[in-house]
Amino acid sequence: MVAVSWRKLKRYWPVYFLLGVPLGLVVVFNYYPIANGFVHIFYRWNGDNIEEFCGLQNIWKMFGDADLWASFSVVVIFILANLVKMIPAIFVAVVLHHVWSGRWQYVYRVCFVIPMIVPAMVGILLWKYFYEPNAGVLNELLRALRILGPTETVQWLSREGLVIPALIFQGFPWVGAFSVLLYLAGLQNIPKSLYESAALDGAGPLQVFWYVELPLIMTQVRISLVLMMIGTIRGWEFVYLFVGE
Amino acid sequence: MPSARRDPETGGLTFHRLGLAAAGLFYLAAIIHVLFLGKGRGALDPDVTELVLAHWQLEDGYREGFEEMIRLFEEMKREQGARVKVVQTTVPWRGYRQWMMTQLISSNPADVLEIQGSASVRYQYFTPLSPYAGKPNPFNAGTPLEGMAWKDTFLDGMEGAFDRVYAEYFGVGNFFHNSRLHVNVDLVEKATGTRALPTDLTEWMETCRKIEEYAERIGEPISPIGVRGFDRGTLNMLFRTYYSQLNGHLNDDLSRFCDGEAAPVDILRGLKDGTVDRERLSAVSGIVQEIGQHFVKGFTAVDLEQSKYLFYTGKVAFFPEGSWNSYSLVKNCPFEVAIIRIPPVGHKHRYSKYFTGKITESGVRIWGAFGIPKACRNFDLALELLQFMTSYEINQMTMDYCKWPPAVKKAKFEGILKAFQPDLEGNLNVAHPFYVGWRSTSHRKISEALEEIIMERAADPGRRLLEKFAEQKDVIVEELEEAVVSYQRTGLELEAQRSQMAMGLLRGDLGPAERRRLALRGTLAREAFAEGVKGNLLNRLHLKEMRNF
Repeated sequence: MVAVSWRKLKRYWPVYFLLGVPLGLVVVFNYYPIANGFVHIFYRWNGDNIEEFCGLQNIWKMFGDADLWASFSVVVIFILANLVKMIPAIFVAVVLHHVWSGRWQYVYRVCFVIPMIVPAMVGILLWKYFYEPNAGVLNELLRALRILGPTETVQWLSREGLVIPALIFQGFPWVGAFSVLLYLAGLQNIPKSLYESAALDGAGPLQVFWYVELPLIMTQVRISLVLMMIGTIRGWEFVYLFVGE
Repeated sequence: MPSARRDPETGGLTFHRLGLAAAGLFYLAAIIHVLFLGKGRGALDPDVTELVLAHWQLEDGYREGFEEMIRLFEEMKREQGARVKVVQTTVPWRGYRQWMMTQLISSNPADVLEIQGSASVRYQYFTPLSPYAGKPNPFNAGTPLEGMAWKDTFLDGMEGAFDRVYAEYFGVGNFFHNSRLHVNVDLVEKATGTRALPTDLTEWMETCRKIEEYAERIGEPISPIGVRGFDRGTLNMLFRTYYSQLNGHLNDDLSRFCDGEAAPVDILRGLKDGTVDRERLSAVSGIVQEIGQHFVKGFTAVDLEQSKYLFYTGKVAFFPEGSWNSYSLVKNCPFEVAIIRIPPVGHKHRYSKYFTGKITESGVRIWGAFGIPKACRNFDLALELLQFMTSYEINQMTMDYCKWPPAVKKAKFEGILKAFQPDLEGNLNVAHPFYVGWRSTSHRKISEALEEIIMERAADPGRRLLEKFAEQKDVIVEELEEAVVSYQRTGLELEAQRSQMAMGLLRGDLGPAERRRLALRGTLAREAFAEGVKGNLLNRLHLKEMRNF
């Protein structure tokens, strides 16, 4: 850790001051509530007027709760599924990167960016209607294909064995615009000389992808992976919007 | 134009000066706007007094009704020579409380606010309307409510707006609501050959069966009953309705402390010593299970909007829902919608032997209370607006836009509103059986059990319900503990209030009217305290008993 000398502090005080203000806000609104939450693990607290020390009682209660372990296993399933769901975005980014015409590449990029302005909530609600058992698109499609009888329904979001697969399938074909742009930025930073060397060595498109492109966009893949895992762990509202209380 | 570029000498990034200057200018303009033109007031003619009216009612017609009321109010003020502008602001319910608290804490709130929050919030931030509640509303002149005290002009005598803890009225309401069954009459006719509507549970279930047969016949996925399953709204509505119809007597038979309510502990004790008829107590789960078999498929994940959509498109025949959504249901349907009370158990059902009658709607409570924050800059004008909007003609006119039952007495219930006229016939005993409080943990667990009973077609639904109830013992103990502590705090607040009243009476500069008012408030606070003590005593007794179970 580099200590800040008094001289530096005196000279650059506006910089430290400007950094200090947002840092203070982060401490007050982010770190303090988390720390406070940790302290209150040892209390019987209703957030208001009841606050009694209860030792490890809450922790034992939490670990004894079957719902907690069930939710952990669901999160693990979602993380594994989301790993697979990252692949199409990489694929699309590579294809986009290889579009020769700069103008057409720009058009495709814009087409990927435009859906980003639609709130995620709208997308979820659309998918909810897609899964609706009585008049939803998916069941209507299955009826049209005569896989289901005219009055038969599949309860995608309320049958125990179907709800997790349905939530995983949601968002198909899983081409997140943000991920595509992230990978594309990585691909565009690959020097042309590497492609030329690979061509001289007789590498085909798959080998170029496997030995040149994928290793060089691993930084972006790692960022995307971390964001995905954080998003999956805290993605309570996503499940809530689909299946309710 | 790039906002940053590379310095040719150092290679580092330098900000584009013009971009930085533009950002600075915008920042400056924003500061000026916030500091000097706050809420756009400065943009108005200084002779115009602006009032802001805020609420969270985004249902069809409500805002339009308020717009018309505002137009009439402004017109009236103009005729009186005053220039007034009323601005209606709406914030969705989910974020309303946070928004309201921010406004109140910042001391720059809307002038008339729909109140949401605890008694402490009302007391801390809203001006008591009690001094005006006993005087006539001047805007009722020439109407059937002329000369009546303002509070007496409401169907509930303003009881719903009365704050027992602080013995004050902090707000006045606008409407009441009740639960109704919405029926697609055309679909019922196609399925049954008649437009006659079910009058009891047996007929309702029979109609549901015929609708299912009809759906099979025509090969369409039509379900008998639409459900707001997402938040278990329909399930709770049906559970409460039928539980009260079968078990209202428990309120008299079981409450040992004459509080007129069979609490969970009373029921547990009754089950233990055999004074409660298990079959009768749990019959409601059998009824809910029976109705649940006709629910729309996958009902647990169906939300209100989806249920409405299914109803609009003729995919469900019945939709039990609160009157707040009736208008949008009727307005958007291309077929005739009948609105009736949820059919009572009646005398032909297997549980008719326990049926004590439908529950009366005589004790309606008025909702949608608006209050005036203490920080309001134009209290007299805001009060005038409140009185105007709750006057006989205007309240009915405003509510007619959204077809909600108006709050005022002697209102005319015409058209769709006829369906919401309180049904005064029936049993007075409303029972809240297996949980401590609405949306408490015990309540949620009981609701979950009901869902399971329906979905798994449990062979013995009554037993399943009672087992789930017994499992809630520890949860109920915790909820009672919280209630006890909460009452203690209320008691302290009331004591503090009485001290304030007493100190106030010692002041020499008070007029006789003000002294009388203070003394009355002291008396009311004492009564509320006594009531609180009684409630707390009951909770303690229940808690003690629950712990020993």
